[in-house]
Order: sequence, then C-alpha cells, then structure tokens
Amino acid sequence: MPIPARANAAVPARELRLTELLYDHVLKSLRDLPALSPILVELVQSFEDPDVNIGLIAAQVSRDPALSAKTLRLANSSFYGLGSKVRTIQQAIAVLGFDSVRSMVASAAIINSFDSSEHTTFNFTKFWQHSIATALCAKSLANFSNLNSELAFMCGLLHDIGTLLLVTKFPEQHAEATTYRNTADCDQIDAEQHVLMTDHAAIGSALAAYWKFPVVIQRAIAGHHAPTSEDVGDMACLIHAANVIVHALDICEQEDDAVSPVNEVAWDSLSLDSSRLCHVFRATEEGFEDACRILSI
Amino acid sequence: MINRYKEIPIDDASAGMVLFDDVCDAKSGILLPASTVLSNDMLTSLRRRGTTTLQVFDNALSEQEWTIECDRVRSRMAYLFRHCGDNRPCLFLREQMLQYRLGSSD
Repeated sequence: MPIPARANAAVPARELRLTELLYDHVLKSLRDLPALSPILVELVQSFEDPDVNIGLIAAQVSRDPALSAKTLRLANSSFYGLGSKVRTIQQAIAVLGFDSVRSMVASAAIINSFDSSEHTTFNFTKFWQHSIATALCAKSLANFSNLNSELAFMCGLLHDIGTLLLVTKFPEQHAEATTYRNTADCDQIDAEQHVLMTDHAAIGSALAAYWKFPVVIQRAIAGHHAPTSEDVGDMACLIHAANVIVHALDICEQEDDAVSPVNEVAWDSLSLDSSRLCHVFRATEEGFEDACRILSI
Repeated sequence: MINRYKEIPIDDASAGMVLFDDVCDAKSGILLPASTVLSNDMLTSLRRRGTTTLQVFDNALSEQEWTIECDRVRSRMAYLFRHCGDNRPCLFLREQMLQYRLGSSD
C-alpha cells in the first residue's frame, strides 16, 4: 500500500482559498504567542547536535532563573530518589545524565508554556497524558531502530501541539471540528479537514517551525497521521505508530477514544513482532504514572 | 485496563506462584520459561543470579470476576478498533493487545 501524499495535495481550486485563508490566520496568530525562552529553544535544538556542548548548555540553564529552578526541583523530586540534595545544574547533569535532564526539563517547560486557565472546556490533563504516553512509546520503539530515543521522546511529546494552538487561538473553530467529530464518529483529524480545511498536524508543524525546532521534529509532527514515502525510516513513521499504539493501550481511558487505521508501509518499516510489541506496551504503561507525576500532570 | 499479571520484587515471591513471562539473564538467555510454577529452590537460584523482580500471574480475581473482566476488555477493544476495518497492522495490533491484556487473542 503506497504511502499517500501529504494532505491538501488534490483540494479543488474553489476550496483552496478557504484553506489558504484559515492557514494564513494560523500563521499570523503565531506572532501573538509568547516567545519561548531562548535556552529552551536551544535545549530542543540540541537534540539534533551530536557534539552538543553540555557545559555551555548547563551554564545557560543556570542563568535562566525559571528553568534553573525547574531543573533542580525535578532533580530533587522523589521520582529520582537521590540520597542527597542536588544544588546546581552541573550536579543534576552529573548525577542523572544530560539526556535525562534535557528531556525532562524541556518537556516540563513546554507543558508550562500553554496557559490552560482560560480554556475550561478543553481537557488539558488528558491532552498531556496522551502526549506523555506517546513520548514514552516512541522512546521504546526507537530502541528497536537506529533513531535517537530521547529525540523520539520529544517528538512524541510534541506531536499534537497543533491542537493546543487551535484550542487557545481558534477555540470556536476547534469546537466546531470536535462537534463534527462526535456527530460523525470520525477521527479528529478528518473532522478538522472537513470543517477547517486544515488540521492539527499541519498547524503543529508550522508552530514547530516558528519556534525554530529541528526539521526532524517539524516533519514528525506534520506526518504523524499520514507519513509520506520520504518519512520511511524516520521519526514521522515512528510517531505515527506510537500514537496508534497509545490509543490501543487506552492509557488515558477517554470514553470516545478510537484507534485510527495504520499506514502499512510505515508500520512494516518498524519490524514490530509480538515480542517487541509486548516490550513496548509494558515500557509505555510502566513509565506512564511516574512521568506524569514528575511533569505535574 | 488490567493485565492478568503483576510485577513484584523477588523477595515478595513465594513457592506456588506461576511465572507470567520468561525470566532471562543479562544475555537474554531464558533461565525459567513462562508458566513455570516457582519453587523455593528456583527463587534462591534466581536471587543468586541477580534477578530483582518477577512477573507472575495475578490471582486476585475470582474466575467469575475474570470472565466478566475479559468480556469488558474484548468489548472495549472492539469499540476502540471500530474505525479500522480490515487494516492489516490494526488487526495485528488488536490481536497483540488482547494477548497482552488477557493472555489470549480470542
């Protein structure tokens, strides 16, 4: 089964103006978003840098009071069970490892970037639970491939970030798409395409590009529902599978949840047999509660 | 969702418990296969080899409770996979999920 081309490839000419109009509004709304901390952006960008200067990053985190405080709070949490108190960023990295600290700090900072207080009808807790579960699943899947497991974790955490932009900046449009989804009992992304002529995958990719996140993260977000032939062997296929597996695990226990059909080429590229799948199921479930606790979800 | 197994520290294991999964050494060699009924000698040997946790069948549910739970899980799985039709990966994923949850893909 060929991997389909990206969405909107064959939209009739009359509807293209609606697509461009809404997408143009989305791009303009990005400028109204609070800027991410430069060190947070640098942290996420460093996932792609095999020669990352850990000492330099640690020094920069130390100079950011909010990020520094968050890092030390995480390091000293009961989750890590350290015998003595960690007092500096360098100490946290030495004890816990740079990869672990980077993933958790970047995750916590991104989660806190979205203010949920004004949007009481959207369940932010369930949203982040699904994102964290997908991150854990992606990390486990990456261990069976040659992909970076911590980068897979970040891609999994961010894969639905476009939904948050829709909820916070276009709440009426998001509500309309959700109403259609509930009425038609279809997937959320199909409802978004039907109502908005765009979807959270495309919007999330635009947001990741605006934040200057690595291209691999942008592509993982863009392709997590419909990976293309260019995504075989890359993060988009991994996140596509992770997302589906998490829905099948029913880890968030959302009453109207559903598993979407899986792209066969993407699935086959991961070579998932019974043993590996079982390992992935367990790794995802066993890490879920601890990860939610440490990220305050 | 529940699974019919629980992971316990080896010090909480006792003779008569049944292994849910293979116990492997550091090189993935199988020390004891799944479904082995544990004896005290086996537990002593596993401790000596550095095993710290075991996955054993959870006998907390009665047969009737287990049957009810199995029906609930199968029904929930059918609902979750309602959009998948005959999508091959979904059929495989559903089969593996039922095996994982219930120890059977039926």
